[in-house]
Amino acid sequence: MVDVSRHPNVELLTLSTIKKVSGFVGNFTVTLHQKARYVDASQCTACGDCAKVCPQRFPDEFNLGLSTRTAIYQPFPQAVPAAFCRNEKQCLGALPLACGKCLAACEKKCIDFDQKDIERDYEVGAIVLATGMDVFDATTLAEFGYGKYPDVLTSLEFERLCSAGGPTGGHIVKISDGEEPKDVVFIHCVGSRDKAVGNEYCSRVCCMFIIKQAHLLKDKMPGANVTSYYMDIRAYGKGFEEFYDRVREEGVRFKRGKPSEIFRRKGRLIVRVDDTLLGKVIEHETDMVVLGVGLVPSEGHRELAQALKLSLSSDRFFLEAHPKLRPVDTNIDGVYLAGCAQGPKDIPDTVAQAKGAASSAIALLNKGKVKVDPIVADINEDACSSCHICEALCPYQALVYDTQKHVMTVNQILCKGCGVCPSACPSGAITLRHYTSVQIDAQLDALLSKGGESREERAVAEKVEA
Amino acid sequence: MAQFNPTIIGFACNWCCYAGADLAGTSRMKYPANLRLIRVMCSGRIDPQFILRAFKEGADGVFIGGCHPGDCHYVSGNYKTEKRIFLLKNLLAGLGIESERLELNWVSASEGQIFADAVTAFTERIRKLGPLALDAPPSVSQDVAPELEAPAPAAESAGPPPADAESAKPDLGHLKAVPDAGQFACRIPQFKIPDGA
Repeated sequence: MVDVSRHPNVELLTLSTIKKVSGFVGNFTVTLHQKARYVDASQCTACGDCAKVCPQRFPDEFNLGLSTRTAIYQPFPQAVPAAFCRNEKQCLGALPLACGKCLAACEKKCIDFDQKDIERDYEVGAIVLATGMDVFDATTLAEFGYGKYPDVLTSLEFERLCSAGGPTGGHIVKISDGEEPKDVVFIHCVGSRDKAVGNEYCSRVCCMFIIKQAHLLKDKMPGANVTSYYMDIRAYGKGFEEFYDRVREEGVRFKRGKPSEIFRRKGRLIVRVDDTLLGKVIEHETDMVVLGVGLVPSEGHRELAQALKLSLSSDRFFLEAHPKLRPVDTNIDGVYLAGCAQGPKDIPDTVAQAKGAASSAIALLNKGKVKVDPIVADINEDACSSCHICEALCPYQALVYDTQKHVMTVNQILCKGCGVCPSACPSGAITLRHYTSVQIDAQLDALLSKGGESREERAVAEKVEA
Repeated sequence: MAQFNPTIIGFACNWCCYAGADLAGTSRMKYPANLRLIRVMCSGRIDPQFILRAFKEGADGVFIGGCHPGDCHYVSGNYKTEKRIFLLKNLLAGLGIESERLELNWVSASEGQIFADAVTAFTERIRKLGPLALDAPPSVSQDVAPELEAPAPAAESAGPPPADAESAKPDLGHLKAVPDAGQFACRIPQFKIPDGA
């Protein structure tokens, strides 16, 4: 990220959302809304003096609420740009009677409470979507008691506990009493491969991150009892199966079965699970449960899909143009996908797809020209009655109303030649090149004529015969 | 008596059904030779006028193949086809053409067998229906009118309809297969349109 932010040809815009995208391949106009940071990022040295004096405390999003942060903060230590930002809803404000302590503490005087949100247009030739994913909300599955029992964690929370830079400095403790857990249970496929929650897909990364977390746990606490309940272990990547074997040899027990319920009895958590290899229901008494939560599309992906006119696949991730042959393209030319925006995937796969997307974008821009299909719609301007029926039907917004001439026009770069509009035009003003009504009628006539005769001619011939 | 050999016109979209038909061919699958296929880029290109023209020019049945819902190469062309075909099926009845003579099918590029089966079943159906007799006067026009104006008996009372209600109904013959004609202006499609389509 630091490399990207320092690259002379890359302009990095943080705190920004796409409001509107217009245009077409090579000529997109993207309207971006950039939220005010209230700190001049070019001046801020991230010294942290402002945070030291801030009296406000809120759950830290980066540590998933396991620690607190102030109202003026750096989202996480390696955040790019290395500058603080202020949450204006949580800040007490700068009125003399309110607070404004950070303003006084900042040596560089780079905090500006009057900064405004910016909306700006960018002219771009290609767009790469790498909007990532969110994790499944485990509170949806009430049977696991997440949110009810403090020692039932998600894998992401456990990851923060393991991290040396995390809220406990890498010390794995129970949230309820701060004691080290002696028995930890990992549960696979929470919110993935589960039709009941609407996520039929496999999230692909969970098996491996759970195996990794079990390994970390065994590494930090060799005496702890670690059990992992799985439906299937999908260790499909390079070196993954070997790692799985190694973790099993380290003493992590893998048991096949999806827990049905987690409840508390005499201060301990009980995981009830049908061990499908033993063929019996067991109750596993434990101190801590880690839910291996699956991946879901990122928040706001629907709005983004609407802004870019992209399609979503049935799993709600962005749909690629072709699952095998065009996995980084979308149905909109000049828009490419990378990473979990297209579907759950791990880091190597994301890097591979991101390089593919970047190369596609560069290849497109370097040529300076695009090839378009000759099969496009044409409008007979004399026949167009400007009823606008076609406009709403076009999935590519290729039909644009010419307010000067009062006729519809076709943007031949956006038009993909599906032919929905010519068959809807009540005036017959639209023709689809190579699939005109005349051509199709001629095909029909040729296919249906018996010995070159039409139905009428045949009828006449039959009468004559009679 | 020689078996009736119907003439069937098929419209297939380039990306799914036509490719499926291609697969059926390259896989040496067998289906009746009565189908004459016309390729269009998308089933959304199929103007209802083409279908009417096909019937007029001597087709006994019209088969339409598009991509499965959600799979359309052009995002949503097949949804538009579904609506158009539904409306047209209702209109066909008024023209004296059995609506079963028109079939819309979803066939993907990998479904060669499904394409062959669908065509076989459709051809058999048309064979049973017999040749399309368009020369007969459209006797249905008088019969359809009272049906449209008559209030739906189910809406009036929850109890069983009076015995003479059935006999008082005009004989609609083959039109009985047509769903309530009053509903055809707007209808919720049979499948759910996914978000973003």
